[in-house]
Amino acid sequence: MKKQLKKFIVLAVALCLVSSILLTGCASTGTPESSGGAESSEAVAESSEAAPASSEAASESSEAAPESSEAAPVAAGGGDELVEQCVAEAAMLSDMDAVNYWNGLKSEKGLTDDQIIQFFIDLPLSDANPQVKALYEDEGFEASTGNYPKADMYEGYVWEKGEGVEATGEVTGNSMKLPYSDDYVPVDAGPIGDPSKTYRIGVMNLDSGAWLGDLSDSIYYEAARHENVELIPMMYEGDMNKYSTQMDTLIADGVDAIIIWPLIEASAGPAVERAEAAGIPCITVDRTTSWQDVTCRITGNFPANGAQMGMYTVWALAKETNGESVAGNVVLIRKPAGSTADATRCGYALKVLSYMPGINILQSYFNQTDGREEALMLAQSALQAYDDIDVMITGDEAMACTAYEACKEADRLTKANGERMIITGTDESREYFHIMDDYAGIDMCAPYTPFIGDIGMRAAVKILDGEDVPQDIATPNIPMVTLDGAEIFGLQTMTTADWSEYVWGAEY
Amino acid sequence: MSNRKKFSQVLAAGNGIAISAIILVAFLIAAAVLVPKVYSPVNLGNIMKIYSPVGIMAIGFSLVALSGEIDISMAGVMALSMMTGSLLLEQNEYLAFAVILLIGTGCGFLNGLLVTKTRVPSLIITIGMSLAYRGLADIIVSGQYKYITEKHVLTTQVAKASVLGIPIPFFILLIVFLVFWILTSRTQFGKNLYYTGANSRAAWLSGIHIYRVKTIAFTICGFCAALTCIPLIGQVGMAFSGISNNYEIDALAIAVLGGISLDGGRGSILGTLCGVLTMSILLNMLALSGLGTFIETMAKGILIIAVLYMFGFVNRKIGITKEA
Repeated sequence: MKKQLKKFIVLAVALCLVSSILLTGCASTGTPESSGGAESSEAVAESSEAAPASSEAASESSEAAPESSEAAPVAAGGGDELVEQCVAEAAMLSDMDAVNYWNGLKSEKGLTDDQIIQFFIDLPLSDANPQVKALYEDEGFEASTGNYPKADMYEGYVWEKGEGVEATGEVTGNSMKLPYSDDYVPVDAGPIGDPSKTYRIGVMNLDSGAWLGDLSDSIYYEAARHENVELIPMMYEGDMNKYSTQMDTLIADGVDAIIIWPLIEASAGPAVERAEAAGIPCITVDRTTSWQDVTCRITGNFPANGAQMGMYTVWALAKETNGESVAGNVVLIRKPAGSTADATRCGYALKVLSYMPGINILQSYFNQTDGREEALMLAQSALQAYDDIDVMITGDEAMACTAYEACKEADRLTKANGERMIITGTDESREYFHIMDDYAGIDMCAPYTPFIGDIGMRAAVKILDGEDVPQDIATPNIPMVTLDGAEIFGLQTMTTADWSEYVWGAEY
Repeated sequence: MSNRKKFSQVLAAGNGIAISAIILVAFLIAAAVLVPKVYSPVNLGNIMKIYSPVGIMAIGFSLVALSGEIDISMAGVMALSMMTGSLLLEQNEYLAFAVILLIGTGCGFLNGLLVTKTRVPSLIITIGMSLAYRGLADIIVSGQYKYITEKHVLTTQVAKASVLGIPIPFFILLIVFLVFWILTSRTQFGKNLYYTGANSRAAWLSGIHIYRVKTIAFTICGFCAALTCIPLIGQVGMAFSGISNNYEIDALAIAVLGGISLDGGRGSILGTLCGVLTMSILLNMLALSGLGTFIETMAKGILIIAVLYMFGFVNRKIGITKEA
């Protein structure tokens, strides 16, 4: 008996020791009182010293904002010499020097809105903030930001506000306005290719989720314009093994093309390779696959989303001090580790933040289930763990909305300095805009519309018609939506009213 | 009486509740020492709100486990009842709640019937039914969300309001606990449930209608799964079929942490309540500790295994004592 009692006590003590080591270890690395926090305070002090020189420029910029109230048309793309020159100049700057330079991008350097977004996308990682730099390098963000396709707009397309087509979703029944139909990668309505033949196009998507449902809606919208096109939907439910089997079924079935929303980049590639080897052109939409020689990729604007979240964070923190300094504690609430969307967006945001030594990343939380409930829990935990959060950068609309809910419940929408908690996010659902419009609860939204499936469908139609289509087709870099449509570093942002006709999701 | 016997009796008290209680107290102390923020009033409110729904589900799961079966369909039951009921939220929230509970109870009853009539293992039946329920839920709403806004006053209140500082979801958990604790510990049905789970053949030979007992357990489990939806959708501001992903696994972990034996016939609802509290303190402590998601996940896994090993260790020792 004594032996057994001893064993029990030893086990219990071991358990307590393991917990203690784990918990105390983390307490000393993650909390604001830790050494990292002290470093950050020093950085804040340094940045404050530099501030007076820059306040004028900042206030000049805010005065200049109302003059350029109309959002310029935007287009994606790179390789612009003026942008490259500005990036080279700005790469050497940091803190308020960088902010001053950024404030002059439109007024002094003459960059357009599109070029300003491209400027922030192209900014290299800076050494100015060692913590952010280390986070960027340690978590391998370069693998995502460096590899995400850098595409040009098809035939130099320039999107303008108000464009698009209204329709009712075939899959979801939602009312929608497709921003890029029927102008981007245009095809005529009516039969395609050989009018006597029925073209069968496989669609690989998930079976649930409002964003993905609306992505399907946009594919169906375009398919309905061509009477000899038949869609063969395959729902792989997030199961990549099932995805592979369904792709093989489509290959065996001899479909004419396949449009794919690939959940996981690496495991989606081999099946695409098999389909292409069988002579079936594949078109990926939004995310990409590991098979680089795919016929066509409709790329989303993750880089623009991330860069603009970084821009907004810096701009909003500078505004809190009337342009004197940029300093604040940031919490990242991210999508599951390994997600293309998360790694790309977050990577581009961090690159912008790396220029600001006064920014301190308190914690990087992953929503491993990508579920709304966990998102809420993470936001609540962050608010309990850290008393001095200034900014919450979130990975999508659910995380932004739940971050707002958590702040509201914890009575933390207003910070100790009297300023509002800064919450940034992406993906403009109807709920998201409702919170922005009715409560001013979320500061900004980097739009990421699901209505890009129609572009993939039109690319498929062109391919089946025998037309040459570039491998990479970009979607426009839409300017961020802010509460008051402010001008941020020269970029004229949109208000919710400007983009509300394009929002997705069920009626709120 | 020897010390050995006394020790065994203390640990074995109340169907293993003593062990659950000791573990809970250990975590409460660890939290107080290592992460005192756990005890801030706002955080305690959060804990009670967040973990109550899964606690309700764990109680339902415990009843099925006590009967010697397993129910993995709870997330599917939640999805179907939640999405069907949410269609009525605009018309009448009371009616929507009633429909949610009715459908959940019906799904549980159907599970019970299928398990007892087909004699296919409950694990297989409930995995299959979970997929069927989830699929049907998505068909009904075309895979869409249903937003819960301030105009859904009752739903929002049930999820977020507090009485005397105690969140309503926690009250619901306590009521569910009391009802089913009394049912399992003070009634003939409770005895039959334990007998059925411990040795269904012996129970059947003793005249217990074991199929009826199991069907009732599954029906209660379905009811609890549906009840879980009501505070949950208000908390996250949305009804969505995928909202309950992994909930059944959490419920299972809580039940086992509370001393419920997956072999049936051992454990108690009071232990499950201890399991809910232990799990919630453990997860909250890890979340507030600033470990970072990856270490948190690893630590959660290690600690759960360690606690369960301790349960097994003590149970084995008690078994030896009894045999002796």
